[in-house]
Amino acid sequence: MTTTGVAVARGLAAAFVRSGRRPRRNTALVIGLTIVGVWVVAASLAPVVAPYSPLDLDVMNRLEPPSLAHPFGTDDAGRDTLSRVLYGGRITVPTAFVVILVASIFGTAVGAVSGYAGGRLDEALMRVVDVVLAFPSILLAMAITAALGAGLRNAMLAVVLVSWPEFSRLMRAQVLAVKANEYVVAARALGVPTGRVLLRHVLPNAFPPVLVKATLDVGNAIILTAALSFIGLGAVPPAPEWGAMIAAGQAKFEYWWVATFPGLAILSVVLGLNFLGDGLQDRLNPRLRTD
Amino acid sequence: MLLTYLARRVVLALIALAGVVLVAFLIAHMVPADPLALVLSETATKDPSIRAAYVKRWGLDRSLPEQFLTYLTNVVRGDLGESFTTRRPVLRDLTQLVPATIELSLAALAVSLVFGIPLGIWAAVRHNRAPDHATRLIALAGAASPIFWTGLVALYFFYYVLEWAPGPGRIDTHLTYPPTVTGFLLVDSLLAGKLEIFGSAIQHIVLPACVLGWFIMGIVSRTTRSTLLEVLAADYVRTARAKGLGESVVIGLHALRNALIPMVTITGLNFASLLSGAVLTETVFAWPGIGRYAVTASVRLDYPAILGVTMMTAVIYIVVNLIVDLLYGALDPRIRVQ
Repeated sequence: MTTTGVAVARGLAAAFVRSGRRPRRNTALVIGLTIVGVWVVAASLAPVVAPYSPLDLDVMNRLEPPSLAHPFGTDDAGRDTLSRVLYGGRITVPTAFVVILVASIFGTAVGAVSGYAGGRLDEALMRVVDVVLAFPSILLAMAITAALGAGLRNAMLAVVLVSWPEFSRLMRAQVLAVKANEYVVAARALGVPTGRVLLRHVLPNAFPPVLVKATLDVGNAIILTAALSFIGLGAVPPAPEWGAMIAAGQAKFEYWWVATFPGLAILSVVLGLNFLGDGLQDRLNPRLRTD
Repeated sequence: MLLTYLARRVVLALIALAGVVLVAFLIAHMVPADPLALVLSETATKDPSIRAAYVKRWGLDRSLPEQFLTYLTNVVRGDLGESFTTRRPVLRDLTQLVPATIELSLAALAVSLVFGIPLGIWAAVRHNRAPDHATRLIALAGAASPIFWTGLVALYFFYYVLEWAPGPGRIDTHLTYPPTVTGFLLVDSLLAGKLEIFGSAIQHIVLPACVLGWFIMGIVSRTTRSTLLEVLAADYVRTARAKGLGESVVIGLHALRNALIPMVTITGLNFASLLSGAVLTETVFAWPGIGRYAVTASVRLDYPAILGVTMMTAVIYIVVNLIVDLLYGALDPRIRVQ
């Protein structure tokens, strides 16, 4: 596995070097890296930079509008919204990252085996992928979470279960394309075992589009997890989870700040990830460039 | 050739449908509780005669594969069990609620096409200039906004602050629904000759349709843009330009016609996003469709209801995509060969 890691890293590095030869402005990548970077720093430093505790009640200051003391206002228990939004980043961002890491590893493994093996196994695996993709992801995730019981951990598992199949389709297409290359044919002709050919030769070269998709999917996972929490199936209040915070501000139009700021947090971090994914796509695969 | 293509698509769709039922069956078996709790309310599980009847109906005393076959047979016959919440057969609930969801989804689809296609054309024609970057930003922002939040923001501005739009719901609360003929309120109100209801229904659908439409407009405009760019590079477009035809004729009559064929597929694939988006839009706008039903059901652990909606939407998705595949085969003969 470590050799694969090295090979993947080497493949990515090569793609970066190739793209670096023609220096081009990549605004999307810069914007994306900046937004995501700011969020990673803000979330990691939340205990230092947040002005209040995300959970401490302050009934004297319930539903205060934004002010100097509370720039994002307070919620119906007097908790500081800014602090909760910052702490929320510590829940949402790593959660989505882990979810997509697991989903992409599982999905690409299935796709790689499917594309490389071909034949009946390929046919069977792709039918499974078809079936999972036939469900609207939120509904399937809702059904799974409802069956397992509400909670952030089960919501994460549900998002993994609905997110892997697209990675399989993508990886399979990549493997089919790479498999025909001479160096793979040569490796097979030399008698290199199948697993090794897959890990050392096929995977690293098929990897860049998977990385792009994974970046975009971290954003989708954030939205999906927040949606499950919004419904009441994910993170349990008073945990400062963005989706749950929006639910708390629902139907309280006169207290608009309660739902607005966690929503802007989701919007900004996902927008950052989308820019990052778009920019990576430009960088790693000039042929797939969006223009 | 065409027949083989048709047959293969239909067989694949049937396999996918059986798979959908299998997934629902497996989720039902993930529930750690008493399996009878899946189909029976709490009081009913205590009555031994009702228990026995249900064990027989769902084949719970037999092996797992046999249970699945029973489940599949029941589902095919339209027996999805009873909802604990409404205490009615799930299928009856769903058939009553699904028109509201379809009406909203079609309205949203119309919004996304009406705004997305011109935006895409504009971006392709002004390729790599300000309009192109602007539409890219719109698409990225649309994909990045959580729809339940966009819905709340839209309600805040257009209902609470500006008072342009009516509040949540399908019609004003003082109005009564016209007799159900199609289930589509916009059609039924006209059939009944109730213009007041029709007007109220139109006013109520605009905001949720725009919220849901905005959600997929980005995909529509990006696809229009990329296919149009591809077509604009084709030889026949160069020929048309060389003949001295005006740019609007070249784009409108020559290029767009071929560029819009992939839109058929995209629309089909987007149907899943549309239904996903409808679930949360309905929740925010108190829209009485299957999405809101599913949310209520999942929070109350009403398994037959939530699994029923999940299966129904998957079936809708598979059927829509089968139609799209067949349509596409008819529109573009090259596809049939694959």
